Amino acid sequence: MSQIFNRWFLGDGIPLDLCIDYHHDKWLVALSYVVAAFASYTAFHVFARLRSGPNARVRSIWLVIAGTSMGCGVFSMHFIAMLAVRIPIEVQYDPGLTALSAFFAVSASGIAFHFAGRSARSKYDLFVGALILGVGIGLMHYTGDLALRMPAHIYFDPALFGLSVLVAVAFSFGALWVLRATDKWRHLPRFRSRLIGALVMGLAVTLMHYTGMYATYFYPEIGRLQTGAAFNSTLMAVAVGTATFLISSIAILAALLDRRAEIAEVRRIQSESFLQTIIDNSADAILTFDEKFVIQTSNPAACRIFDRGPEHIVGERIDTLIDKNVALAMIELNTLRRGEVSRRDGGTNSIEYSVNDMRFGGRRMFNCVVRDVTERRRAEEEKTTLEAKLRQAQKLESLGTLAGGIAHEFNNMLVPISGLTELALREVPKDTRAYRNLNAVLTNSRRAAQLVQQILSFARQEDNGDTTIALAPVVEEAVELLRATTPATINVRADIDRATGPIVAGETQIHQILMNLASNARHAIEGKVGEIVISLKPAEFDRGFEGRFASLKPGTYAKLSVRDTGHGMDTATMGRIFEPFFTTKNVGKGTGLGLAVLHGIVTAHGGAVEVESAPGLGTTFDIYWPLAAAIEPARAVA
Amino acid sequence: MARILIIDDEEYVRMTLSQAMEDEGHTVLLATNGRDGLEIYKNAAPDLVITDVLMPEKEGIETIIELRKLNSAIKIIVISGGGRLNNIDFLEVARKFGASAALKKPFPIDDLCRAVADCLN
Repeated sequence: MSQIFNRWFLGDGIPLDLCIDYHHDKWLVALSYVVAAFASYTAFHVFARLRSGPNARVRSIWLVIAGTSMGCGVFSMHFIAMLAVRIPIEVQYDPGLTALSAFFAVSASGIAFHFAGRSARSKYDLFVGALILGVGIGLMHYTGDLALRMPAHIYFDPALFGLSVLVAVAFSFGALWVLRATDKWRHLPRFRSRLIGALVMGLAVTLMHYTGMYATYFYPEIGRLQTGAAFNSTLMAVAVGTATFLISSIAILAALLDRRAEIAEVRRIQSESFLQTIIDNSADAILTFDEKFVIQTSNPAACRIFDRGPEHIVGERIDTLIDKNVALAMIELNTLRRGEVSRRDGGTNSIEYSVNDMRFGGRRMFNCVVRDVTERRRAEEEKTTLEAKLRQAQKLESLGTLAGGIAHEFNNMLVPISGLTELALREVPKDTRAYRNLNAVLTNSRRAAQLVQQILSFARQEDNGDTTIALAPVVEEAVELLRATTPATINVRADIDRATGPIVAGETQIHQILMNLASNARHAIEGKVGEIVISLKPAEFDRGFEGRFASLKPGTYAKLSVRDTGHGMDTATMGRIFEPFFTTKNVGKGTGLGLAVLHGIVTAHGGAVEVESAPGLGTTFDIYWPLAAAIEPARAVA
Repeated sequence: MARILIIDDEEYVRMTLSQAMEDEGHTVLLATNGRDGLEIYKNAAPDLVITDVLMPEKEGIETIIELRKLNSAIKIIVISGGGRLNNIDFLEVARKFGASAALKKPFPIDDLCRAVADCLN
């Protein structure tokens, strides 16, 4: 050990004044610093790629590039600095040791970046990295010194030798710290923070080198001494510097390109993920399918709308999922279509969908957007029904107002017609034509009076004479009257449950309603053999039943039905039977007010009328009348 | 026989009622509205008044009220064609204001004669 020390380090016996005097070319010194700083900048640039590499393999590649560019830079700096030495003897380089020196620079840089780039980010890593880099630079420098082939002995000042390594370690630590800290210096542009790191790192390498040079003494070997340089060192230095710049520039370019590629990739992934999020959260089903109708992709909304799991959507044919019209939609692209899809509970969902085509991977594909419009459709239907009811109500109301006015005028006109006829009849002999004619006038004026009365009933301006009545006796009485006035070809049958509770109504009204329905039934059977069945029984309304009659409250009702075996009605006729003045009877046979009045009376008492009929299958009218107990228990008659 | 005041704005109603009453042997006074009717009543003091309800100038209910002010024991028969105004039963109202009888137009002449006879007895 002491032998090695004595061989390489200055001892007491070595006179300092005999060493060869040398100086540095200041331009090449400056160049060496610039090379070191530029190489450091390059390394830092590449280091950023190393930090953001997507996997270990890519990170290893960037570690090698960063280490190589840094190591090359450090080595170049050192080599240029050595070429800057102006010494009056011939200097040559041992290729093996020079290469070893370069190896130290590159490997130390690589290891240092490995520690600095670890995600744990401990001070320990930084210190180890700096120590390795500093020692590595020292090794590179002094191995480079040993590679010198010249007629001189080299000795090192031990103190300055140690200081040079310390300087290398300290500045390496500073540079690596700056390198890490750049992440936190977000207020600074990346370029500026990297430049600061590079300048510090360049300083570390350069200061180490020149401290090392101050630790180096050259003593001439007597007998081998030659003067003058063997080659143009400036040219060599510029060449090495240029090569280093080129290598560094390529590394920077690679890093820049990689950064751009990474940004593009990140944007692509973000964009894909964003689009997928939109599709997954869409309220509409978004399906894609191929030319063979087979569904390729689906989204969660599709599972909800089609009421089935994704495994029963993807791979299925879209025309089995929606309907055959999908094929039409594939021809008439971008056209909104309506459809129905079945749910597992037996119900259906109303949908609107459109199909568009696209090219994907060289294939023609289709996308189908399906919207669930079940609620909207229901609301529309409800609105239509309500509008129809409103129109009907308005029609009835205006008719009521009109009827009231007309009735008053008519009644005033009927007073002289019937009254004066009555007076005239008193004076005309009974067996004359005049008497018969006047009698006809009187009869018709009474019919007219009845019509006016009906109109007034319809307008509900008459006293209904409402009392609590038991329906059964009224119905039985009506049935008796009906039997007496109905042709023998028509069988009148009664099915009366006497336990049916009392209702609040006018007896005359119930009588009028029954006679009216029976008259219609008789008219429907007219000329044929048939049957009219009048039935009365209690009926319980639950909430499900209520759906048929929005106006009815749940509870017990008296159900009064009149069924005939007549010719029945078609749907169009059924839709109009409650309209005032709508009649299927010949002129003079019906006023068209009977069922309108019936409907008015029933609904005014909180009841409802239901009709069931079909051509050739007869007609059934069901009248639901609320029981008195349900209205006001105190008024109910036992 | 009695003197009967008939108040009605319809000419043929007045004509019918006056013939019917004259046939019964009564003396008939005629007015076309409540205001004229009241004037005639003040001057002639008839035994019975037959009045319509819906009339111009002065309608029937008001006429009844004023007639009863003039003579609280007055006999009045009210006749009405109904309708025109929503859900108001004028005959019922008239009864409450003191009409002795109420008839809905059109009515058989015999019904009127019976009502008149009842009032006069």
